[in-house]
Amino acid sequence: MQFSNLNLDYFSILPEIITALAGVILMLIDAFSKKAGRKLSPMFSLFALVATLASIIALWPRASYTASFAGMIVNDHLRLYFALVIVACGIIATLLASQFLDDEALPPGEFYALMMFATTGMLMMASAGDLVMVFLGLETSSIATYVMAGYRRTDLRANESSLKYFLLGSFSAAFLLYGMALTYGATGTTNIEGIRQILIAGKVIYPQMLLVGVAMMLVGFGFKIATAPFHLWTPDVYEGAPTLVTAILATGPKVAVFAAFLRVFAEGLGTPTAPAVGAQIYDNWINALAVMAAIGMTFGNIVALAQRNMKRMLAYSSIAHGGYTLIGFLTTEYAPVGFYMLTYALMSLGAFAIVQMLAREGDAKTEISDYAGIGFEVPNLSFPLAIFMLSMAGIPPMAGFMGKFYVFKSAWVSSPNLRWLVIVAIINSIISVYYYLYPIVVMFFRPPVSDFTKPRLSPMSQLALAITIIGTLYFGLFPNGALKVLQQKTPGAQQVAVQK
Amino acid sequence: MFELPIQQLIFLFVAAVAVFAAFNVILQRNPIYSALALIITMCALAGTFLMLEAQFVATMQVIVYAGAVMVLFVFVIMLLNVRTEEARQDRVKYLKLVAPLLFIALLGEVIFVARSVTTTAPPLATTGNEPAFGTVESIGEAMFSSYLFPFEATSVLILMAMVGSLVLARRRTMSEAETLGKLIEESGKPQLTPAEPVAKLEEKKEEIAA
Amino acid sequence: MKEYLPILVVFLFVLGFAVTNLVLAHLLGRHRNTRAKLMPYECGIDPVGSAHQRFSVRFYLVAMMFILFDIEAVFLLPWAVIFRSLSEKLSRPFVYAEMMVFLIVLLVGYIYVWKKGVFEWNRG
Repeated sequence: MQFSNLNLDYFSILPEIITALAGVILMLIDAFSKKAGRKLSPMFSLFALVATLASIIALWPRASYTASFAGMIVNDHLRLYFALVIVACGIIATLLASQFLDDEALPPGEFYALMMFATTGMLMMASAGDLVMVFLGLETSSIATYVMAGYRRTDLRANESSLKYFLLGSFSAAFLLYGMALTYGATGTTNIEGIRQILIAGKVIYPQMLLVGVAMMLVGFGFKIATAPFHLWTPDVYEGAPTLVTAILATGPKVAVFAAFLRVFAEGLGTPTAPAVGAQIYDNWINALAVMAAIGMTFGNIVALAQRNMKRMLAYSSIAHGGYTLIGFLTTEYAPVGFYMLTYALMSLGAFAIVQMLAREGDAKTEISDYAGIGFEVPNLSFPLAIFMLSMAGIPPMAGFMGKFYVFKSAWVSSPNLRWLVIVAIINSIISVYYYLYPIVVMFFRPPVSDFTKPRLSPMSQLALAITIIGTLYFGLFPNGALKVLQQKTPGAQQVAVQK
Repeated sequence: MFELPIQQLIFLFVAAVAVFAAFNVILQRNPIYSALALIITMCALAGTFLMLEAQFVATMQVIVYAGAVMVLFVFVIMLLNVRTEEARQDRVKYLKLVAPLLFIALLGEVIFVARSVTTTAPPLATTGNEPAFGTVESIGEAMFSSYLFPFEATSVLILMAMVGSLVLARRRTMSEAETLGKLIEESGKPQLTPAEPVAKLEEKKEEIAA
Repeated sequence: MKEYLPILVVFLFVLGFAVTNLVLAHLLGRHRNTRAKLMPYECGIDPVGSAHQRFSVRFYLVAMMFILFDIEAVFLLPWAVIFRSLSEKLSRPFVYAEMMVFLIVLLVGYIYVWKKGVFEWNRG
């Protein structure tokens, strides 16, 4: 313990402080006066999230690899970028939440508080420089989402989804923690940068323990990303939870866990040229990831072909998207994964938002057959849904195509012996076009159902929808802005450049 | 010099208790017996920690695990009204073969890791000033200097757990009561009212009087 | 390790005492079990209905609150032990403030739980 080198940089944790404080205030407002809670919570949480966004942008010039709080918080560009994406997801979700809570007459105060705390956890995961911080951020965001999944307490399917998510999530967090403990035992430090240095220097104390530890961490992370073979919870949980919560689940925690995954594996354990154990471990986990990605994409796409429920189909498609994102780990930088996550978050939020607006109270209408013929009745909803479906299928000029293209190109260029993975991914993308086009066909080319009434859209929901649509089209047509931001190198990057 | 055999004996005893109690947890029919066996396992593990000179962890094991966590276990058993399990036909019979195989595989992995610990870890750098390994002081020093931020983040986690548990377990709101009423009407099943035991008491009184 | 020897001796004594009593009672006592002796005791009246009934969930909420504040107390323990020696290495107000932040966050939680009526059991 060096007491002189703690580097207590309070400014670097400003985003987490703002969201945690906002969560606490939302809690208290709701506890003291329910009416004030109902009126003030949406605006206050939006305000807090915008303030967090501002603080992240204010931190941008100070990005460096020096970790603050004794190595716990790393304020580099990876963290800032992923934090931006997370807060953007939070803002869109908050905009959508007000209408959802009003329609279903659910108490709003705690929902916003839980969403704030979940955002705090996700931000902690993105900024983690230490295994302990990764775990804490993971648990904070997970517990908040477990509770949010069961928020509609009278719905059996929501209870089922919350319970399944909780049981399997806790179990996999236990795997993650055990892997972290074994990694600590094998290297002597929990600091991710410290683990990397020990691997490069070849001074791992117990190599076999490190192997098992890394494998268990892979299992823990794999569950949270919903990649095969740890994907079995995804369809049931996504289908049962209220659609807005599914939207939050499918985007926020996934983005945050990918950030932590990148940091722990691609930076902490990404040592292909280190002596002895370092190179062996790297080969092991890269190959394991490649197999996981291949199985995930294939399985997700093939089973999605048979789905007739919109939310279940989107769940299987998100398993496939997790697989595509894992291909981005084969490169030397975080830009492919980061860009794919940005586009995926926008597409998914938009798609789930429209599903939520079309599903009536209690998620009554989520079968694809319920969408028959509504194409021209509600063009403000069906055209965006068509765009999101095409984007997910990877059809230009939408953002999904750009994301996939960038990931595949980077992987093709940087890993010559794993090019089979890119080919599998392209084949899978072609297969997936079928089940993404199917809802579009049903919406526009089938005779309409008789009892369809136009859903009412609050201004906030319309704003959220507009943001996602504009984002999807913008990043599909002009990705260079985002890519330039992603490819910024943090000063002092020489010590931690992934050696390839 | 008399220490060594006693330490081995004590370790064997504690470990045997832990393994035996752990098997009891899964093999007992009555869930309360399983919970009690789990408490014994936790205490035995605390004894193991004590022998490894991790006093703080041993104390925490008893306070947190055997105290708080087992309280939750027993509460859940009570609330969910878990009965003694009756022997029933498993629908998926091959699981009885797969489970022991996987157990042996896991045991093999554990032995693989344990046997790799052949070298003693390099001694932790101790100046004269630092507290001994495993004591409350050493953990306190680490927690409030290096691990300060995770410590504060834990407070947010605990706070959120409070909010979460309250969301899931609070009183029914009016709209939820309405929805439930509608669901019960639609399903047509009679609801169990708390008046049942009182009705049975009336019956018994009539029996005795008759 | 030698300091724990008395604890081991006490543990063995307690174990021996409990086991001896049970074994002796089983071997030496008379076994006359009537139906009335084997029924669960309910203040003298016959038990009516099963013991398993639906519980109100507010018991569980109290247990949850116990656990969360128990964890808080667990964190207080090392802080209290190390306060004096740590204030020489870091500054005393800082060490104090560390724990106060933790406690204040949990105090807010306590106020929230209080306001939400977890401790009021006489309403409905």
